[in-house]
Order: sequence, then structure tokens, then C-alpha cells
Amino acid sequence: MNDDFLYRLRKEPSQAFAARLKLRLKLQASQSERRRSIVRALILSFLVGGSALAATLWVVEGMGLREMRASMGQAKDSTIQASGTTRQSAADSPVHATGSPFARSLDSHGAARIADASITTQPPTQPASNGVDIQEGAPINGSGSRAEIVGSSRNSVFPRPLHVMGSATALQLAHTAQPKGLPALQMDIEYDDEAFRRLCERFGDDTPDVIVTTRRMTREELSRCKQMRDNAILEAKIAYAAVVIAAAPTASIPRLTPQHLYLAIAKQIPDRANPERFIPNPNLSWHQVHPGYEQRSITVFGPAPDSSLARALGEVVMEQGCNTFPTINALKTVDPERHRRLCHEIRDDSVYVPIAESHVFITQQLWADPNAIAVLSFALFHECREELSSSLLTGETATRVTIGSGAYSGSTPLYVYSSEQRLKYARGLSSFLDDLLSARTISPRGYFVGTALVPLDESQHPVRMQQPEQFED
Amino acid sequence: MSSPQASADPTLQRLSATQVDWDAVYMEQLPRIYNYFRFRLSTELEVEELTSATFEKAWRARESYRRDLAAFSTWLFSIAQNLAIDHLRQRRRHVSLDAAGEVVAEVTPESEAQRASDLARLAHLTKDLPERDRELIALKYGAGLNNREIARLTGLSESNVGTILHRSVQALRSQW
Repeated sequence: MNDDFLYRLRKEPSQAFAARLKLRLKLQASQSERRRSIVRALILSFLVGGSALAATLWVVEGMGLREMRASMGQAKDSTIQASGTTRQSAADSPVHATGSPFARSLDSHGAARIADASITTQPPTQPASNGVDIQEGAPINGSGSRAEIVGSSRNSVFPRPLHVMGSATALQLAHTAQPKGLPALQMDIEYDDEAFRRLCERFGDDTPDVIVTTRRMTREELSRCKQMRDNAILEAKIAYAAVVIAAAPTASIPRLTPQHLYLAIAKQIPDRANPERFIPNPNLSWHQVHPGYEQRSITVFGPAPDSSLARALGEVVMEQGCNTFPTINALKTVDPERHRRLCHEIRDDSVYVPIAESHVFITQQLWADPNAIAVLSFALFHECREELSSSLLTGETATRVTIGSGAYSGSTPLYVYSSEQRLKYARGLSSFLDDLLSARTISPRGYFVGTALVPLDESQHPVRMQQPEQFED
Repeated sequence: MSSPQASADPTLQRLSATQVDWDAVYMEQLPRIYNYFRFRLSTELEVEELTSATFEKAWRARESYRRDLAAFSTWLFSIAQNLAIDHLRQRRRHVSLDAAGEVVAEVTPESEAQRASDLARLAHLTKDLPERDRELIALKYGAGLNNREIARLTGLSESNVGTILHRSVQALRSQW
């Protein structure tokens, strides 16, 4: 008995059964379509009915309100009359005071209560929302106002979302870190150059409140910013984004440059014959990527293309590789969207296999396929480093030290920028930044878990927003 | 029938997550699901019933299928496995192919009869194997999945799957 023998025990299902089942599926499809139509009709009728009911209630309520106002006006008149009357009556004889309830209460409590009674008949004044006296656009006084903003903003309804701009990897963190009670976030993915430019534009609704970037602001950008705005830019380093490429410990995969990795897993790459033209990635073996490599098939296990780790892979490693091609690099300023697509999009054929980021799963897959490499977060790489090769990207291997020093080519620091002016005007911003920079976000057990982000060393805590001049270059 | 190990869903690879060519999927996956149940269950009636139930369930839930999470065959076999587990649990006895002899009576050509006879004998021998090993044999030789796909479905490691199958086939061979 062998495999062939066991396989030969299989047989095709009978034609009659196959046809019968197919018919049943078709019938099921038509039935479900009918059911769906009925559900749609029901939902539509509920919506129409609900709208009609809401409109009716609104009209009825409006009429009621008018009547109430009218009656309140009458009550007010009568109270004023009653007040006058009762004052006079009280002076004369309280026993004769009759008419409105206010007048009646006067009988028992004396003339001193008249004024109170009159006040209560005034239309009620609108209370300040939860005791917040900060109006939209009104600056809060003094530098100590941050605490006031935190306290008041947490209890108020935010008039507009906070505008956060920057790299997709960092925005993922901003999104995850947003706890309840803080304003909604409007996220815009932009390259660092553009994000810095927009931060330094004149204050307006389109300008970002916060930007999260993968590099520091340059002196030139800072001085340009200061020319445009009259307030201080604030900066904080919050973390590193790091991606590690590894294989099984016994695999003989060569070290890879970012360019070679890009050529192996990008969806589209420049045509060798005509670099102006971009073609679907034809590389199936490492030898096709670079003639110096062996004739081994490319198999890359990595994160799902819409995951934060995949975004980090695109931003931190693939972009380095694709920018080595002048035709793509030129697009960065001319057509940033196309540039991003060309640099970040991962191929969706069988060469790149999206898998769950799990210790056992990844190590088993790599063990089973000695040609395969895997894209991992630094946290996972660190966790199972005994069962993996060292990081395959050329240059320094991935460690906390090389990531922190910037020597590891698969990592980048992340910075947050805002401005004092923004802190004064944008409600909720102070609370948001406090939370983003708090220990619960940036500690090793914080929101970084399961992302491509690597926390700062303990020595770099606590993280605070400061003016860039206070940092060393 | 030759080895059906080419199970990388070639039809699906050409399609995006929302476009699944159901006719092609049906043609490709029906024999695999059908044979999976043949290796797991006793009678032709049960096999056809559960094969139908698998496809009907998949068809009803087709909009919830996400290609980025799992290959289509993995998804389909998860449904089939759950149905098989429920079915076997309901019958309150764990059988693999022990009554597969019934199949013999339903086929007339000699080759088919021989095949059914072998299947019946296999059923008899696999009775003594643990439930997990029988499931692996059905997935490997019935459904024609490769070890990697079986590992994904069962939660075992790929190497573990290979080892168990090797051991099971050795045991069967010694008793054949």
C-alpha cells in the first residue's frame, strides 16, 4: 500500500448527484434573492414610515412649542401683573392676594419672595455646556491652560475632529491610541515633506493639528515654519517602526538589499528594457532579481496587505528600494499617489503569501520551506529569534541598539509635531497628545503590541513635547 | 484517479476577493469534498447529503468569504469538517469507513466494485486508528489536500501532519 493506492480509492461523484446539487444551489440563489428583495422592501418601508413619523412629530412638537411659548408669555404677563398687585396687596392686606400661583406663594412667604417668583417665569437661560466656558476659536489664556483644556475638553462635545497627518504606520498608532472621551480623528496620509509643509501653513481648517513623521524636521523647514507662524513648533520622538526579514536558521538565503526585496515582492516594477514603463512583477526566482543570487524560487510569508505591518514594510523597506530607481523617485513630487502605489503595493500572486503573525505558525512555515523568507515585526522576531536566522537585510542586524541608533536599515524613528498655537485653539488636542505620549501607549505593554512599532528605551521616557531647538541634531 | 495534490486554487488565484467563479469552484471542489466525506462516512447517502450541505452552506455565506483571510478551499473544508464533526457526534459513534461495504452494492462496474472493496477494507483497518488520524487520512487521500493545507485546517504543524500520516499508512500497510 502506498500513496497512489490510497489516492486510487477516490472516485468522481455521479453525474446525477452533481447535476442535482447544482440545481439546488441555483434554486437556493433565486430564493435568497427573493428573500433579499423582501428584506429590502421592508427596510425601505420602515425608513419611509419612520421619516413620516419623525416629520409628523416634528410638526406636532413645533405646534406644541408655539402654544407653550404663547402660554408662557401669558404667564409672564400675569406674573408681572401679579407681582405688582401683590406688592401692593402685601402692603395693604396679604389675605386678599389671589390669582397666579406666584401671587399665592407670596401669601405664605411674604413680599421678599416676589422677585424670585418673577425670575422663575423668565425664559430659562441656556446653561454652559457642562460648565465649559471655552468657545470655538477662543484662545485659552496663558501657558498653564493645558490642564484646563484637558479637564474641560473631556467633558464637552468636540466641535470638529482633530486633523492628524503623516505616515500610515504612525497613523495606525494614533488611531489605536485614541481612547474614549477624546475627539474623533481625521487622518490624512501624506509624505513627511508635505506633512511638514502643511503644518507650517497659516492656521486654518485644512492645516493639520498634529503630524506624525518618519524623520525630524530639518533646520530649513523649521525656519520656514517660523516665518509663516508666530508660535513655537513642538516635537517629540515617540517610537521606532521596524520590520525584520528572516528565514529558517538553516536556510541559505543571501542577505538582501531593500532594492532586491522590492524587486521580489512589489506588485509592479520598472521594466528592465524601458524603466519608464512599469510592468507586473515577473520575478519568480531570486536569480531573476539579481544574477548573483542562486536559482531559488521566491516565497515570502508576510502580513496581509492591509495590515499595519504591511504598511510599515512599504514605508520603511520597500520605499527605500523603489527610490533607488530614478524613474520612481521622480514621481514622489510629481505624482505622490502613483509613487506610493508603485512603492508600497505588494504582489498578490502565490509568491507573496499572507499569513497570520504567529510564533509557531511562522517558524513552522519557514522550517518546512527552506527557500522561504518571512516579514515580521521586531517584537515577533525578538520573541522567536532562536528559531530564525538573523535579519536578512544588508547592514547591521536588527537589535534594540541598532534600531535605536538608526543603524538597522529596516527601521525608522517616528516623531510627533504640533504647535503651541494649535494647542491653544484645537479643543481636545492637548488630551490627545497627553494620551499618545503616555506610558500606557508607548510602554512595551502599551498599544505597540501587535504593531510594527518598537518602544523607546526606558531612558528616553517620559516623552514630552518640546521645541525642536532643545534637541540635539 | 491520479493524485490530486495540485490544490492551490488556480481558479481562484485569477480572481479578486469579491469575484468568485462559482461554476469553476464547484467543478474543482465538488470531487474533493465528496471524497473527503467518502473517507469519513459510511453510506453513499450520508456522503451525498453532507456534500450538498457543505456547498449549500458555503453558497449561503458566500458574501462573508474573505480571500485575504484564507484560501477558498480552506474555507470550504472548514465548513465540511464542522459538518462531519456534527454528524458523527449526532450518531454518537465514531466511525470512519466501517460500513463502507454498503457502497459496493451501489456500483456495478468491476473496477468500481474493486475500488469499493478496497475502501471497505481500508475502513475496517482504520477503525482502530485514533479519530485524528482518520481525519488526516480523509483530508489527505480523500480530499487530496497537501500537508500544508491539512496543517492549516487542523491546527497541527505541517511536519506533525506528515509524521502522523506516515505512521498511519505504515500501520495500515502492515495489516493489509
